[in-house]
Amino acid sequence: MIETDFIRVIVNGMQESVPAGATIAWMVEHFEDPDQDLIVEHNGRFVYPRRYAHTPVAPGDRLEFIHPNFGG
Amino acid sequence: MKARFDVINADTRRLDTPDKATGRAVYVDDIQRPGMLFGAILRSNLPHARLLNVDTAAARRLPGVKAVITAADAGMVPYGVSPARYDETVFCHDRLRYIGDEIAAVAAVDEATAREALELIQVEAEPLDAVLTIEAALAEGAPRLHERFPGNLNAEVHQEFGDVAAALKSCDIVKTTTFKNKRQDAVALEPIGCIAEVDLQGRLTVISSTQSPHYVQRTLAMVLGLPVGQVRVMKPYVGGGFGHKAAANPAELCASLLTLKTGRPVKIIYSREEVFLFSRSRHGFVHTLTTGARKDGTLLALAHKCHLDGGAYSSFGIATVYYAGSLLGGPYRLPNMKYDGYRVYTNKPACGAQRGHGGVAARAAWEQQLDMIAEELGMDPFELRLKNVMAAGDVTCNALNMSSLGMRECLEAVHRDSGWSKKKGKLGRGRGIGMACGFFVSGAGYPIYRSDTYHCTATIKLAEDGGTAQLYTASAEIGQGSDTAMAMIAAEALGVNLEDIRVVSGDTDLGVDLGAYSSRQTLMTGHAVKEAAEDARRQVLEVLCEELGVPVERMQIRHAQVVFSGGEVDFSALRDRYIKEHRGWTDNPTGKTLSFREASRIAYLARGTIVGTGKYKPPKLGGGFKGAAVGTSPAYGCSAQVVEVSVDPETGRIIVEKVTDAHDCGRAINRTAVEGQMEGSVSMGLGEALHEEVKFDTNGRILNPDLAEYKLVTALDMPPLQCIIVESNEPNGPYGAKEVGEGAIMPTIPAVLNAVYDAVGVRIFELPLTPERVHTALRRAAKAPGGVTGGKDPGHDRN
Repeated sequence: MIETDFIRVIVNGMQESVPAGATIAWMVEHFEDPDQDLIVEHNGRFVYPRRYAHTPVAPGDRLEFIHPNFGG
Repeated sequence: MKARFDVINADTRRLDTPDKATGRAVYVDDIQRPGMLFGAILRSNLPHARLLNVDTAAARRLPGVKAVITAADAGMVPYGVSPARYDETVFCHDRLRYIGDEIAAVAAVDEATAREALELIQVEAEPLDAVLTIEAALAEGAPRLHERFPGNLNAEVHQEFGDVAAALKSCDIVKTTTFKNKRQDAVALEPIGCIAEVDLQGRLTVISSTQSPHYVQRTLAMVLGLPVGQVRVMKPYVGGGFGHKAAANPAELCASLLTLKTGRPVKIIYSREEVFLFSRSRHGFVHTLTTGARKDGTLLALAHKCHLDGGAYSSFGIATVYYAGSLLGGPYRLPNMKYDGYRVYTNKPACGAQRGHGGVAARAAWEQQLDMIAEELGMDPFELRLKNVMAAGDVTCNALNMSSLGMRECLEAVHRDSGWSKKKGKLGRGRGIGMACGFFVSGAGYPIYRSDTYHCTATIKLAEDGGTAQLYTASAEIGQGSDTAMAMIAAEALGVNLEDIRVVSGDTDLGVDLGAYSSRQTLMTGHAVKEAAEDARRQVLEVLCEELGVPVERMQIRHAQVVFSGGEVDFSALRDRYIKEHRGWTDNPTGKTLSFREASRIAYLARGTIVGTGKYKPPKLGGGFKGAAVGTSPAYGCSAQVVEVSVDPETGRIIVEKVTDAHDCGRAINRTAVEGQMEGSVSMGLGEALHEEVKFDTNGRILNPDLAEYKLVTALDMPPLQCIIVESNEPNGPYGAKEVGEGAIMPTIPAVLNAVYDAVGVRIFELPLTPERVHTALRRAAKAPGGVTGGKDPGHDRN
């Protein structure tokens, strides 16, 4: 059995454990339904979708997944 | 087509008409409570400052004052609209961020005493440099409004669909323009206001002039630390909202805190100036658009950059900056689109949602640019649109699904009825005609908070005596006619007459409904109401089936009568039973058909109270399995308008002579109300086009926070207006219905802009089109090489 190291990150304001080395692409896949309009913010900054697969998260990082189509 | 329906799709007088016509309609300020106190809020008079101390001692000593509260009492629970941007607290505790920011609140025996007490509160604050424009806020080293947001960048959205750069290279024509609108106020005629009270069980009840009792309930519970079940929010009659009442406001929070502190009901009603200071209305936008097309008019690409002046807090701003880009995905086939949107904090009142949320200025900018492209290509503006227009079944490059779209029909209707062919380019100097299209969502894909909640529920209870049905919905009638529309849908689905439906709405005790915003209620609440009515009808028919031995599928209820197919049915035993229960009554049924009243009573006798329930949330695209996503909206409305103007070349004054308006609402539930929404949209659009602007001095103070200086369109200003209802039978809507409340505003401003150009030959890229701005544009154009030549673009004027 392969042991996986986990790190703690903040996802949508809540503490979550994710595998060390997880990328934003992994996070989107794991935590979100796909949404073409999804906004991902990594430590408060917008992340371009083309960067998802190349952006790892680190312990204590804050991830916010925003569905901006919430009306008004 | 119309004959298919018994109740809906008719011109129907609204249920609230008698109340409003006779003055009996009760708004929040009409409500009194024994022992009620009056609240008032102390606001910052500095645009940006460090808050050092708030001394309330003198205010507390004033006779008649019952409570004074500050951040020390209210706590620091952050709130806002989207949880990702909770950047407000009830009161400022360390920083004042705009003139109007809340510092303290007072409850007193009357309003004059409460306002007098505000004068006695001593505020010690250290002024800070303020940023009042987008440019100042983004400048290097600019003062930061919120520590969390470096560079004062509140939100950004970047999207690219297709390959815009490559597509632009292949275009025969590429046009770039920059367009600015101005901050606008919604100016609902009823100001913001509420009454908060605590009942003997300790439950907080807030009666508020709100568009969304549900969101107010949740925010109050979160900020005050109360269980949601201990908070009830109700709305009485509401005198308009248009967006700025779509989320919790400081009046509701302060009144709740003050009633919890004093144990007495507390009323807070904003003055008109306070409404302007609270704002949450239309942003100021700066759009730069680059559109590319082939010489045959085929649109190939749009590159779009937008900056929003957001004011001091987020409000609905994330959605605003998103919609400002995404809504240009339709109604034209556009294979490549790139959008970069930035919402910026400034030391001014926060902007939020307003009719046509996010899309109005973008639409104005683009539809004017499309006219410029058409002219350069030698095409009629209609021809360019018709060449590119989408149709039902199309999906935009940004994945908006046109499940229905009567855009072509709208264009053809206004082209025909406006007499376009006889007028375009033929009206002579000073008279002009212009056209434009619009496009908007019919409800949002998600609630503002992260949840799998249904977006609405509905309950229909049949009266135990039969004959009438109570519809319970937490939806918000705010003057747009939703109660009547829901009653019509309920009557149609149940099979009864409109007068048989009683509507109880606008109360969080009645269920969940996200409220009146995003043009959502007809489609979403309508679905829930239809389902509830069908559920109640099914139960009645099941009892009849048990009693009469007639299969359910052989029975219908129409016009409050049970209709049997496949031969006569002997229901005399049911009638006898009904009549024997009503000895002495003079209106017992005698006809040859079984009435709904009898059937409903028999169902009650068999099963007890008959209750039907319904619910709705937007479906997942591609099914309910993991991997499907909720779309931007379940449906999209669209519209086209033709506007005729006259322009005085000496003064720059514009008079709108006529508007021809077509809107695809899927299916009109109440045709009168649909026309009302179209008329209201044109009115608001004309105001924004011609004169509405919230103006600030150099310190960030609003110069025109009143209805004398802020110029609204009144009934006397309205031009002759022809409304044409187009019905495309939306498959995702109840009975085919979708929005009309917001999308109908979209074409008005660009149609005016294009008409002004047709009249005097100048393109103007900044709103509003005041006489001064038009006159300046004419003067500059006259000085340009070649002067002003009707039908020719003399250059961009950015005044």
